[in-house]
Amino acid sequence: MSKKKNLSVGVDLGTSNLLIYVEGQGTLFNEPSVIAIDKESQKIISVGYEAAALAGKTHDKVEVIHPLHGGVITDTQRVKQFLLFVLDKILLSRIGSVTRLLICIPSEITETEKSAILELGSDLGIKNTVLNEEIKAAAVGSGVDIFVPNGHMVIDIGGGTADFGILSLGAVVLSKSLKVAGNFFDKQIIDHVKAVHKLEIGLQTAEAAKIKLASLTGPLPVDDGGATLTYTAMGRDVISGLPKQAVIEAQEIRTILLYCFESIKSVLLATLEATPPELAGDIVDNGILLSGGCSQIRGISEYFEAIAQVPVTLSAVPMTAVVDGCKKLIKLNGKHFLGELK
Amino acid sequence: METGKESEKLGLGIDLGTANLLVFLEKKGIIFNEPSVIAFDRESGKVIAAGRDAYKMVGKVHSKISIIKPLKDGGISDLHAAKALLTYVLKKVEDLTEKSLGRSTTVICCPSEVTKIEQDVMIDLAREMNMSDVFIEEEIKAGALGAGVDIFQSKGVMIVDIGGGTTDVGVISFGDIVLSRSIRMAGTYMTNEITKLIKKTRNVEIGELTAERCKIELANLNPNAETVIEKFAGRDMVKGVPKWVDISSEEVRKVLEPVFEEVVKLIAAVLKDTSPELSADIFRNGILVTGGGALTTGIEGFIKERIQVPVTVISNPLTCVAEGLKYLLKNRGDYRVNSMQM
Amino acid sequence: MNLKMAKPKMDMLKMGKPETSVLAKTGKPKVQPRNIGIDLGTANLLVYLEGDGIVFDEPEVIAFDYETHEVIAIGNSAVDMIGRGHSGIKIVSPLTQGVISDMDSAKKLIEHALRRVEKDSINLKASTILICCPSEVTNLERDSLIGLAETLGVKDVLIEEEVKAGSIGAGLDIYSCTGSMVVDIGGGSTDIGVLALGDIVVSESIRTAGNYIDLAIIKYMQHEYELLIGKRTAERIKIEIGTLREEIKDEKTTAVSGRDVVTGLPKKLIITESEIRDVLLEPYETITNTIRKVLQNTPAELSADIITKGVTINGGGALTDGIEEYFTKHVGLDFHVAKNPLTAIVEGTKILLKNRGSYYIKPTEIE
Repeated sequence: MSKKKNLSVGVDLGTSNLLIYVEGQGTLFNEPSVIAIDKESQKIISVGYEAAALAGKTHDKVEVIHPLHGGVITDTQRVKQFLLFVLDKILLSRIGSVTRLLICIPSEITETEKSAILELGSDLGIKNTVLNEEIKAAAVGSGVDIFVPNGHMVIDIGGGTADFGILSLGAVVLSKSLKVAGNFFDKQIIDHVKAVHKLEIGLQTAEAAKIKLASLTGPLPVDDGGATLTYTAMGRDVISGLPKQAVIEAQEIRTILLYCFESIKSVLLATLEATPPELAGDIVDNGILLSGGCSQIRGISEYFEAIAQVPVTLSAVPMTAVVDGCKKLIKLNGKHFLGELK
Repeated sequence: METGKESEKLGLGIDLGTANLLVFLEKKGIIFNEPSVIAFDRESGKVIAAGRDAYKMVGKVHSKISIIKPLKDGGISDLHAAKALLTYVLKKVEDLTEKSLGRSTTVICCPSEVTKIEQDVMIDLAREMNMSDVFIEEEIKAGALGAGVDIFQSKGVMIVDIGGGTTDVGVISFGDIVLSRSIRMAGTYMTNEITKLIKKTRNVEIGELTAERCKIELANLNPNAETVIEKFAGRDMVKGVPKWVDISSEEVRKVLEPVFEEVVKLIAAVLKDTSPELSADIFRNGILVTGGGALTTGIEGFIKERIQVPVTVISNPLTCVAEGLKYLLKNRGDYRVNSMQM
Repeated sequence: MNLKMAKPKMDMLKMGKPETSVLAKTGKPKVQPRNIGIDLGTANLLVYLEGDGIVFDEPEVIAFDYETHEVIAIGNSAVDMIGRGHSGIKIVSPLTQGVISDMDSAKKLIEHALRRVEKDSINLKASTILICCPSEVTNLERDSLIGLAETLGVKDVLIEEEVKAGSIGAGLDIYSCTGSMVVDIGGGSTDIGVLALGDIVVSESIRTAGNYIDLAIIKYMQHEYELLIGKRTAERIKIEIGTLREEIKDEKTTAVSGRDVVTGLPKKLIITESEIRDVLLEPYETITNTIRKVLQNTPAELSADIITKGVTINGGGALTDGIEEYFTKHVGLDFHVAKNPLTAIVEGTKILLKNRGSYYIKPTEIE
């Protein structure tokens, strides 16, 4: 393999998952944003799936950290460590040949956090570091032409945050972010199961229940026979502490989700209210694009359509929209406001 | 008077009429016969137009143009403008420079009954133009000569000259004026009366040129004449918008009659002071009417009815004064020299 | 109310500055001075270049990259950005209500407009530029126009009133002694003038014009439908269904998109011709009153000319449906729309460049 100079690298610092794309080589990393650290040496032992699997199952000597918890960078040192580790692994010490780094960041991020991330790039020895809002990358990755004087709205509900963005002329006009998303739903499910079924379950179980049963509107999900779906959750009895299982109904999940989505609804309306009228007019025709993992929830388009009164479309690539967008944005050298991407 | 040198000198006759300026050049005839109006460029002071071209601008100029009528009530009211007008005319028409004017003999006409000061102003004008040899004569004398009357006979002739600024009435015999009187009611006054009438009865303001045109087209002193109605345009004084008004010859007659009554009064006054011998001549030969006012339809009948003397409007009322200057140049106004027989 | 013509001053450019012939292309042998005429309208910029005709006729808008100040787009491509921009883009309309509010942007806009002419490069230093301004600009505002020419590198500057250029461009012989009257309804101002003998006799300028009407439409949508719309949408409505007709047959409608004031949600509605007609009535009443005011100050002799010749309507507003009938009825004179209401001003500059705006040199005498 010839040593490729002038590599461009795109990074989606997702709360749930870290994705890294290398120009010409594709997405070389797509695993949970989790690291496992040896407490004594403070060195990373494992990352990604491996580290995630250790959550809730390790001893004291190992600490499992989510450095991108809640959509913002809580510990820049850890994030740096994480990235370096991963880049090393995938680029095999060719970090020196990386000349452009494009990092996708959440929308509501402070200036301090922004500078910290930019520093990351320089710390890694990469000359050209550019930040882009995730919501912009999600739009581009989903095939929306944002490089025109025509407004588009994107809602990206991932693991840590729900992001709302209005885009036009190649950039974000306004955006809002809410820390109510996949992880929050999981936690709500845990609380509910505890309270109602008197069963303590883990995050992965909650997530599995969510994925199988989640719906917001329309008929409840059914199996082949026509019976409403259920999920048998396994956990620990709240009082006795002994292993137990409980059957969770689809309706319960719906109720939980509807409750969670109330705040998402408020922020959506707040975003629309703040949209300049000319762009609001465009959105009437263009509609809203839904992306992110939670866009898979059944009936979510109809739910948002009823609230916003505009057509809602689902991204064709909800899980990889951001990194797909990175691919395209990496090709742009400098700012672009008008004209299509090549 | 040196007859030899005279033939080398330029003979110039100027009828400084309030309404029209006529210039007579010996051996050439009337070289200029246009309204006494001059237009200057306000900033540079240059002459833009004079005569007919300047007359057309009256009531229509913007602030960059200044329009001046240097003659008023028969006399010079603006010496600078009068000089500019005359200079312009002489230069443009005959290319007469100051040098050539220095070799000229000039006769300037004035109304009867001008003050010494007014006469002095005329001499000043001539001096400023480098005219070395200047003398002043009364218009009616020139007018009579121009009408073809042999004034050098010992036969009384009465001339009524209804001009723009003044109406002059005089008796001429044996080559000179026996007596003459003048009033400042004439063409301009009549035009103003028409403007006032329209303002009062229609609340419409008409421009000077329009009023003049109305006077010329509709004036008819004959009470039995068929009424003619014509449309003229002006400005509604209340609403400010342009408006058409119908003016009848009847109204115009009613407005003009008082003015002509004054003329008749003037004729009567002169007749009263005329010696019986001359009165007899006038009674026999009648009154000659000249000047612009002589063109008023029905004027012969009007005067005849009131004075009971034959009245004749001469054939060339507008140019007789200028034409008469020819003879005055020949005899320098000396009654002993019958220039008509030269 | 009349302006003094700017006299070209030859020592204005600082000596020692390198030759800033903006468009001098290296290697090209031909660099010629040209006559340039500019209609610096609030809504549209038109540029006339001698020998090429009208080389630019697009909205007076320029878009910059906020950080680098590079020009991203001008004219048609920039105008759609209005109301749709973000913090990385600075969208500027350098003229507000007929006067330059952003000199640098105005300069860059004109430069880029001139750049579009691919052919010979222009020797700006030796060229003559004629810029039109609304009536009733202050000396300061007029000086800023001269300043604009200076920054472009042109020494010989002429300033003329739009009303004068517009009437010449509309084909009126303003050099005769028969008066002409023009009503120019532009973007930032409506100029009304009576002209004769090559210059303006009476004139008046008011801010009730295209932009004012757009704002009136925005206000109407807000009050009547509780819908917030953008300027571009308001303008589109005005152009599509704006009318002044009293009787409307086969009522036209159009869709309007914006944001509901109460719910905050995007909303689309249908509105009718007669509604917009009613919105237009108030500003046009103001214009009518100003026309009457000018007529009131017009010398009677010229009033007589105007009643015979009628009044010419110029500017974008002239394209409003039913405008001739409207004014004819409310003012009581014959009104006609010029053949070329949008380009009349810049076409007039062509002629004024020939006689340098002098009122007593008829341009035809110079050919």
